[in-house]
Amino acid sequence: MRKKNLRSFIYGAVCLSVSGFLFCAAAFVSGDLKKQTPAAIEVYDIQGLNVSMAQAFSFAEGDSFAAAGVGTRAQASDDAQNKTISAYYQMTTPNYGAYLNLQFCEGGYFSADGSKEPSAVIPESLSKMLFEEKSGEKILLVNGRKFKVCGVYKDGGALTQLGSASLPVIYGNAPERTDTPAESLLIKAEAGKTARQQRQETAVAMGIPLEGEMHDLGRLHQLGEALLLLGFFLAGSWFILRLCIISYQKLISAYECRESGTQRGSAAVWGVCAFLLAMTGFWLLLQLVRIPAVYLPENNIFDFAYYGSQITGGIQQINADGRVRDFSRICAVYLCAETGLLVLAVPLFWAGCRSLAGACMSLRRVKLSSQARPFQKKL
Amino acid sequence: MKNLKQFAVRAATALFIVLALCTVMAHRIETLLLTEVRTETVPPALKMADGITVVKVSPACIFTNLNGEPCVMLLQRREGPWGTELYVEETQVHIYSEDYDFCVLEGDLSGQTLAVYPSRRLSDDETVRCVLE
Repeated sequence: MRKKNLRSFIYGAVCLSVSGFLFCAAAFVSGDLKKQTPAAIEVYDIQGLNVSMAQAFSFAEGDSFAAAGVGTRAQASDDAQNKTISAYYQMTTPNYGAYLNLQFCEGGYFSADGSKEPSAVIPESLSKMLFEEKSGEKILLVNGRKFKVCGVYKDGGALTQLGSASLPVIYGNAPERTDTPAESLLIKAEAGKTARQQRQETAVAMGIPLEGEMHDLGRLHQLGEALLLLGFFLAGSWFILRLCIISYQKLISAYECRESGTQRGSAAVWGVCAFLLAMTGFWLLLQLVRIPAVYLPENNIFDFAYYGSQITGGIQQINADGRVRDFSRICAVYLCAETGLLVLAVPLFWAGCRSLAGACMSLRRVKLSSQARPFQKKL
Repeated sequence: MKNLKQFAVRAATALFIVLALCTVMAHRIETLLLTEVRTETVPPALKMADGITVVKVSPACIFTNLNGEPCVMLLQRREGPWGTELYVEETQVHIYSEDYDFCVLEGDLSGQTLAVYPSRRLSDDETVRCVLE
């Protein structure tokens, strides 16, 4: 009996530990999604939006959005032109690096109050290829134009790894007088506003209508959090179910009890208390379910055809062309990983709790029977 | 007979607990499925040169009713079975002038709260929930 209990305890503890680890991993995935992607709404058009970089530059000073110009394939080389590498060059506003959450291993993003000389930030891989043996100031030639390298960022952001960009991306500072159109605008996402609302507000502030593909990465962050909370809700439901079972057993025992009124009354009181606790706990636990309305069907939450069509639409977007594919890939990788981890964590949590509760109950039974034995002997 | 009675009591108790859980869950689902709206408070009214009182709102506040006329959705509160709830009241308006940035409405709606950017199409008297509330 003791061996069996010990086995149950170990099994329960292992299940709970693994479940805890999986929950932490899901939280890490949700956190990494936030770290790797900007909390912003991206308005994108590969041909260029109807906003020039000069206009974007003048409005981006308020820090409510950042802009990147239409990118071009370029030949990048060191100042001695020993090596030439194909790259993708984009001019950006000075706050673009902060929006993209770029991690720097050397220097930093160019600042708005910096010198007017052309500056660029380059990825670590490109820096290693071009300036491996060089120390001190780095001068980069992009299509023959000189740039001072002011920062080297770490490769491996979600947007570049999961995106379609296979070339190293060089970000350069935008000369204030340029007619190059902006390729993408990153508008700071606010929880209380829709992407459409924020796009319109930005358009009103700039006095230019903004048309283009819109990807709400801020909402994606919210969905990542909502999934994690849903996992906690499902795990916590075990306690509610347990309380309901206890309540049921106490109420039935109160009804079927043949002994004194006091025992019957106490069983009924315990039953009612457990029932009320279960209901309150369930109500509180349900507050963790916070799925944004845009992801829910209109009238019936059990409209599985709707969820099916959403998933099918997402899969089709992964195979589409353009920026929407990058966005869909990010959604698919992060959300599927998080869901997968939670799907494993919840049953393990239930199994662990069940096993531990079983072991505790049998221990209690053993203790009670050992206490009852001397009385039985006396009788 | 006694077994049957016992079974009925057990089944009724289990059913009662399940129903109570379902009621709590249904309430939450109902809240989640309510149309989500953002709000905008109407600024103080202005007097135009021709003597008409107007208010300046965002174009997103203007909806079209079933007759194709412009209207705004005023956010109101009422007592529901589960406490105070928010609902929208369709109010027909006359547009004095409009451009890309603002819409100037005739009448004094200053201080009123308007529903904007709903998660789906709004209808008169519909119960809604405010984001971040």
